[in-house]
Amino acid sequence: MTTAVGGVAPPRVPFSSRRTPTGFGMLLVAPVVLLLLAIVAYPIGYSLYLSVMATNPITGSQHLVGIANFRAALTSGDFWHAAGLTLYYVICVTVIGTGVALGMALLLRERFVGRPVLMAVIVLPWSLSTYAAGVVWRYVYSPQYGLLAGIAQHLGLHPFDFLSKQAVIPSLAIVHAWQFAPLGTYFLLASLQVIPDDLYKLAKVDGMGMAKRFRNITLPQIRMPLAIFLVLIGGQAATAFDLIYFLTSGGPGDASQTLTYDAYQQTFQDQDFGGGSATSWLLLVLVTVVTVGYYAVAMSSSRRTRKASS
Amino acid sequence: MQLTSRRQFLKQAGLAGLVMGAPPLLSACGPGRRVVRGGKPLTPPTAGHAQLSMRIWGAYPDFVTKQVAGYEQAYGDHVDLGVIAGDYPSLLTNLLRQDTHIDMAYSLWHMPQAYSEAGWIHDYERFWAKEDAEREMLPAVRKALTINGRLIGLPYFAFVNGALFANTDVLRKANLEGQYPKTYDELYDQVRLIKKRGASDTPYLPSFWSAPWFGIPFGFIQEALNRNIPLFGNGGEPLFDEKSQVVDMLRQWRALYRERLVPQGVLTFQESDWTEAFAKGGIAYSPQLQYDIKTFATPGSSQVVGKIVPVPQQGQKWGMLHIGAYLIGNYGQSDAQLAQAYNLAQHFGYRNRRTNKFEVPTAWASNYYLTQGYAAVNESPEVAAAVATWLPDPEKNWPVLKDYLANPQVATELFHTSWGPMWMNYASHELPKAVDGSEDPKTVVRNLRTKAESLFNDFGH
Amino acid sequence: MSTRRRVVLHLLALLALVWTIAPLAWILLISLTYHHEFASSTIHLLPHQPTLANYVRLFGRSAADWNGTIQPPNAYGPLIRSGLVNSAEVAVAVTVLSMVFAVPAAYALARVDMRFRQAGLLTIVATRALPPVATTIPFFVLYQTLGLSGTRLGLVIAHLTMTVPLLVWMGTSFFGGLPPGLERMARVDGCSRWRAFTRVVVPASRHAMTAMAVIAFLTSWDEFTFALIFNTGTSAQTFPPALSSMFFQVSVPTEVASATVLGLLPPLVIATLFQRYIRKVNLVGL
Repeated sequence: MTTAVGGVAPPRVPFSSRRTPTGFGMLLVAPVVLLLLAIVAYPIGYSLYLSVMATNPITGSQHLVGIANFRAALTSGDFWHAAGLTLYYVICVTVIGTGVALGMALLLRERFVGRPVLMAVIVLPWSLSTYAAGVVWRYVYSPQYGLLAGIAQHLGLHPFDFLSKQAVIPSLAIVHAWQFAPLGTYFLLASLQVIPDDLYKLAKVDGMGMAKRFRNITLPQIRMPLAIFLVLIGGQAATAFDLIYFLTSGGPGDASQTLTYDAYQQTFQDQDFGGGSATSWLLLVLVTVVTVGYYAVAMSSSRRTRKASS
Repeated sequence: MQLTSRRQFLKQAGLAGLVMGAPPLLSACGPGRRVVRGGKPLTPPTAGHAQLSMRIWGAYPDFVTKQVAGYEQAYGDHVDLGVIAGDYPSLLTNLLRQDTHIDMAYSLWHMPQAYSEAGWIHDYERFWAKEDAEREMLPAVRKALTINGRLIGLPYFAFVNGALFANTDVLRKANLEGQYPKTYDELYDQVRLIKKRGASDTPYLPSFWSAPWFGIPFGFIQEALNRNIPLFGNGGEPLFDEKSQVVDMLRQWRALYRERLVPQGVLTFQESDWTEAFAKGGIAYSPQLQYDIKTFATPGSSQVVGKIVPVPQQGQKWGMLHIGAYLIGNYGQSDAQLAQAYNLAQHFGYRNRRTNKFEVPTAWASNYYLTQGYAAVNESPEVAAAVATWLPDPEKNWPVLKDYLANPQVATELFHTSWGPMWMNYASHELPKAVDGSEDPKTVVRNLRTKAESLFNDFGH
Repeated sequence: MSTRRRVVLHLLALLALVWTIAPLAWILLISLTYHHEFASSTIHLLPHQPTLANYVRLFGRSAADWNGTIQPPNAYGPLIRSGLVNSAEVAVAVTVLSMVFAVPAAYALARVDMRFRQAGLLTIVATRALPPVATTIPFFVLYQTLGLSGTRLGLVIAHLTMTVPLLVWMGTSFFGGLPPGLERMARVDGCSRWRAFTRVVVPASRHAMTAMAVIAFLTSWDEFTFALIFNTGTSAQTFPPALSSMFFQVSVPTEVASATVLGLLPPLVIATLFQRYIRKVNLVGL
């Protein structure tokens, strides 16, 4: 389950065949590589090109400005505001998402009435896309007709503005976590289920408390999948767009204007292709750092697994 | 990952990068500035079978589909009608920039200045009925749709955005019936009084405080202009600064928000939320879209049927003129195709060429009170009959609505700049900060000025 | 297990169920409410007068309102319906093509002793890291040149750039976990490499491949940004932009809710049907 991709050694079977293994492999991989080169390479290249050009939004005329767009982004308050919000959002999503995922996984490890139902039902939010989650949660959060406002009304409380400037990022993060956590639950549950029950019983006999049992038995087993999930959900949160577009359009004011939304606004609303592309690439750098971190974690985890099994 | 394979990966990625960056692949970004050909007026097309593409936003798509079908039947043309979703202005700009074949598209009137300067749209100078249409247009509409001396669109609608509506039910409860405010200051005082008297918890709904569709910048511009605070000069140069009265205006907005005189969540409302919130009842005053009188009068959608009346303009204006236009894309089409586009535009935005009647415009106005750029339409008997079913006491209240249209506020100075939309995008994220207290109103106004100055320097008028 | 522990456990399970279901149940309830009731000054947690009228009107029929007056079909009905059909067509095509491209490639990258294995895998997977906003303008320019914007084919290709790397990654990790001797046995029986793959490996991977197909389908069905930029306002518009044309306009929230529920049904049903496959597969890549 936790064996990760890159570290799996291929079975080195000495086949005798007219085609070499590399030839055969290439034949199977080539269509994918060609597809991606044909379709993705041009946009990527073009986007890089745009990021070093200044494009007049009205006439469309362009001239080379080198790194000026990047410098402009890095020295603008808006960029750092958006970067800070992105970071805040990523942290909120990660914390809430991991909390929910781990909580549910621990819960589902136990036996209780209706466990199969819960097991099946938690996949539902994950099957939605972020845009749909945004629409669904608008009906939950709205102070005018929302579910939470309705409950508050029945309890005689004042409705709360979940999308006000103080609350907007955590509120968005809750939606993101709601939608993404089931994946983590399944992922963590698989690791939890390989822990023998006897281990917990023994620990109990030894007088270990619940917290201690979690730290000494549960955590070591799920450390790797947990780390992977953290990085995954973080990377995903950093590029979230649909959810923000549907729920707040970056507002109120610029209180939910993350880097992706900022790039969208520069590119589409202001037709500032240079600035928008530069922001996107800076965001990409950020995401890449996270992804590379993920690879490192995944690799070392698989190495450890292999060592343990040999 | 092994170090060697990582190096190998980087090497390969580098190669791929070279391929991606190959210069021949990089064409210029879009076709850039295009030239609009002048020439003699065209004559109306005689043959049918034209293929026309029309792009609209999603307001009453069923109604538009019906009108398009009528056009196709009358002229034997084929119209490809598409509804553009979501962020319409940005998406349309993108489509025009990329040379998409668009014969006719909706647009709000602050967008075409840039389109026109870039040459992405045709003007109506070669439209056979141009003089007649201009003569019949409301003067403010004609002026709004004339850019650099040339008519660039026929009106899709003209209504007052932010016409002030009152809920007579709440006013009666507060013992203020008929005592309409004459100025914004009076309005805000009265709103406080209504709350004090317990007639309403959130007596005011400033529908133009949200970001989508330029909500809050429209609200800012209209209130400032109605208060006679100058914002932009004739060339588009900013006239306001930190000493301007707009700072006080924003302070008042801040106070309304802080004192909870406005509904919760108003800074993140969608367009439908404005209407829904007012239709639920309990709100005394709200600037609304004029055409929503129909929604408020429909029992299935409204708890305030028969209680909503327009507040008369007594000296100070309320709201601001909002104009939609039918634009014609310039993608290098032939004169024959352009004539077909004029024909389509005339059908929708002026008199039907066959019957010489305002058919589509009258249908808009009498079905939805989407008022038009022509007085002949807005005051026609069909519209009068329809309005009578939507307004309580139409003999008293319809003249109020007509006065809004006859003496509207217009923001030509800003809307006839090519950078107006960019400034408004910026303002839509900046202004809420003054309202919810994230930023001092003074700072917000300074930022708005700085932005306007830099855009003015970059793009001129 | 102590009684207290059992009670706490069941309460927590209930909480988990409510957290998962409540938002979905709420939009469903709103879609079953007349606008008149929805617009009343108090929020009804359960509709007093439940109705299917919002759905009936989306499907192009008239329906009675709360007081019996007849309401015309929903103005957005045609847009929503053609959006659902387009989404289904695009998603099915994406699913089939993704599998055709990704499964052999994943197999090769996982189990064939070839050169450039890791470089190939990383190059493919790295293309996933790009935020879509970064490439939409270039994509759009490319699509205009190739005549692909406003077409279902264009959207299928755009979605493939998202699903294929994803499936390659998932598949590689799955194939890598199969017993090492699998192909050898087939080869001993005289199969070629290709036949060993199709006759032995593919059948052994049924569950994983089902999960991959489901994920390709869901990714395509749920995709919003490309669909909005390329196909909005054309006859090839898929469901997400069609819904957003309703959502961002002067529209009735109960009607938007019913349209949303219609668009959510396919992914919800598919995810429920196939959830046991989904949860058994290594989902690292999602």
